[in-house]
Amino acid sequence: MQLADLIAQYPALQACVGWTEADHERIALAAAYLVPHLPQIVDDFYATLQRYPQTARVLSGGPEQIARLRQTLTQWLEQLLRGPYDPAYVTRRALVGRRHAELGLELVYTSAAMGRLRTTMTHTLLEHWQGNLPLRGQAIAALNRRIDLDLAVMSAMYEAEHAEREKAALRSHLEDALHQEKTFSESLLAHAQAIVLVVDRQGRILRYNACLQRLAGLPQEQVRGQDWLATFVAEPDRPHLRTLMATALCPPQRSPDEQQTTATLVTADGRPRTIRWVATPLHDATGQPAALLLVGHDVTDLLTAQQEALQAQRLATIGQVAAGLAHEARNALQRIQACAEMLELEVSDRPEALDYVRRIEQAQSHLHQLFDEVRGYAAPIKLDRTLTRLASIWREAWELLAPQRAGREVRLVEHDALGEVQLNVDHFRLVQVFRNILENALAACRDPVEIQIVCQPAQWGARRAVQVAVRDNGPGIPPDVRPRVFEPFFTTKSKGTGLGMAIAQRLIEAHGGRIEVGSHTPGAEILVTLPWDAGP
Amino acid sequence: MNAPLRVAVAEDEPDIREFLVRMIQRMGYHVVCSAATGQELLDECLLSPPDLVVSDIRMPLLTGIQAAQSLWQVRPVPVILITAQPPSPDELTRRGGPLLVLAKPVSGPALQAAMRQMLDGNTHPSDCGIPLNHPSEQP
Repeated sequence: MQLADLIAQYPALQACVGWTEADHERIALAAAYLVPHLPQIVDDFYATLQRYPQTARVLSGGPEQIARLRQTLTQWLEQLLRGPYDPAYVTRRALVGRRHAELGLELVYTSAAMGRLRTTMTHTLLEHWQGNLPLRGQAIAALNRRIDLDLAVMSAMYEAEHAEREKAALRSHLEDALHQEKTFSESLLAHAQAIVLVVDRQGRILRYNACLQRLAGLPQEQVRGQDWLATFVAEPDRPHLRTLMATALCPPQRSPDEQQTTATLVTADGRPRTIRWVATPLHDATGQPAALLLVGHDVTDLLTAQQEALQAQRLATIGQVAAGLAHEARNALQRIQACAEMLELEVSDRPEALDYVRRIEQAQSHLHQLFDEVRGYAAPIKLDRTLTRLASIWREAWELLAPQRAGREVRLVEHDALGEVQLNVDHFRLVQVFRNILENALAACRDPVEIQIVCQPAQWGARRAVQVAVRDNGPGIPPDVRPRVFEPFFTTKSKGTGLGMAIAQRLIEAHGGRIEVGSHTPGAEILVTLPWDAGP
Repeated sequence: MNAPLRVAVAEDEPDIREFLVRMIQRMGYHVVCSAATGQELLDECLLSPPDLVVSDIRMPLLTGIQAAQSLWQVRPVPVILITAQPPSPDELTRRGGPLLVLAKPVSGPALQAAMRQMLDGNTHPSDCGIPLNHPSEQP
């Protein structure tokens, strides 16, 4: 209730307790007996307040406070006895009620205090009244009505103020909670290891989180309102995502599979990332889908790991099968060898028959080599590292190719910037790698062959590395062949298993290195990069 | 003229056994035993000790390695084992006699070279060398 309402209702309140103008006169009469005793009435009041802990706590200000309060109460009693009981009077009473609410003094103590004053004033009148006794009764009744009215006004304002304060406290609490919630969601969005993007129904960017900003390298202000697919998604993947958006926006929703799809994200550093997107509609107040929430998880590393695990598993299976096959085949190969050699003895006087036997032996030898290479490719690799000069490795590989070089015009040119530097590598395995690379170069080139080996320090990300380039003067590697060079069983040669470069790749990767087709022309270039501090 | 050296052969596969016997005979040696199991090899060799043993490893009843180990307890006869599956280093460390292991398939000339090496005494009992046919077979 507002003060103005209270003042407006005051005449009705007076009527309700039976207050009349005659009561004013009766109180004036009583005042003559009460005013001389006001100091005792006030003494009694504060003595009572100090007696109980619940009320004594409002008197924590010491004697000064009590002196001040005594003065206030005396004035208050004088006003009560004197009037006039006009709006100014009502306002003063109302402000006392509000003040109590401000102090947190409970309403019950206001009522009790008023009861105490009522009692002491009644006793004073009973004790000191001189004259007409019926008048005394009327004066006490009038005083009671006045006190009832004062109490009603104070209570009304107390309650109004109290309600106002509770409302304010609740509002403040809600604001705090809201603020905390907002801080929490913002921090969640800022630190989430997932992309959170909101677009409108047409796919225009509304907002996104730090994760996407980091990956795409685009500040929100720059792209807000633009089509998100054109901004972030690689062209071939856009149709799937359009389908995903349409499915999310058109209820009834389909199976969870239809609500997610993977697509390639265009990133700031140019390295594509694979993102698994989930779309959820955001509804407006009418329940209509107004926007789309797109949450994207970067699954690039996960997919790579899965593919690697799958490849490793596949190789392990091939390895087991190949090892079993190679073992069983050895007995069969030995029997072919045995029978061919015995046949060779039987037909030693028949040159054409001998030629056939030799062809059988060649086929047998080729089969033997194939089994060995499959096993070499698929078997687990255990490196036996020693400190070795790289030049000694390719030179040994070159020596092993003496039969292939016999009768040909070939030259090996070395540019070794590493000198005496030794790397901790598996000498035997790397000889195998360079043997395979050099053998391919010899097979691809026509005479005169010139093979260059360029060995130099290199940088691999933040790591120091060594790069060996093997370049030949042959026809080079055609663009359609380049991506398949390290694929098992891929070969452009009429002879060969197609495993040489695949084995080389496995061995280099086991060293923590990298092998790739270089871009040097003319001719072919194979680049082998090994970490400088290779291995334990 | 010295009597030809005596060679015992064991191999459960008939084609390969015939080949070994014929090749060894052609090289001028005397094949004293042509066994199909490890037990047969051991029995024959204990009756009539050879100068050299050429044997498969995996055979019924007794493996080539087990037969060789029993023989070595009597006499340090040189042994050439021919195998489709090279034995583990663990099996070889417990050998206890002069030994050479060849991986199948073995050609006549390769066998001849290995036998010469063993009979010329180039392989000392403590020598652990296992000449294998192809580098990729190294573990």
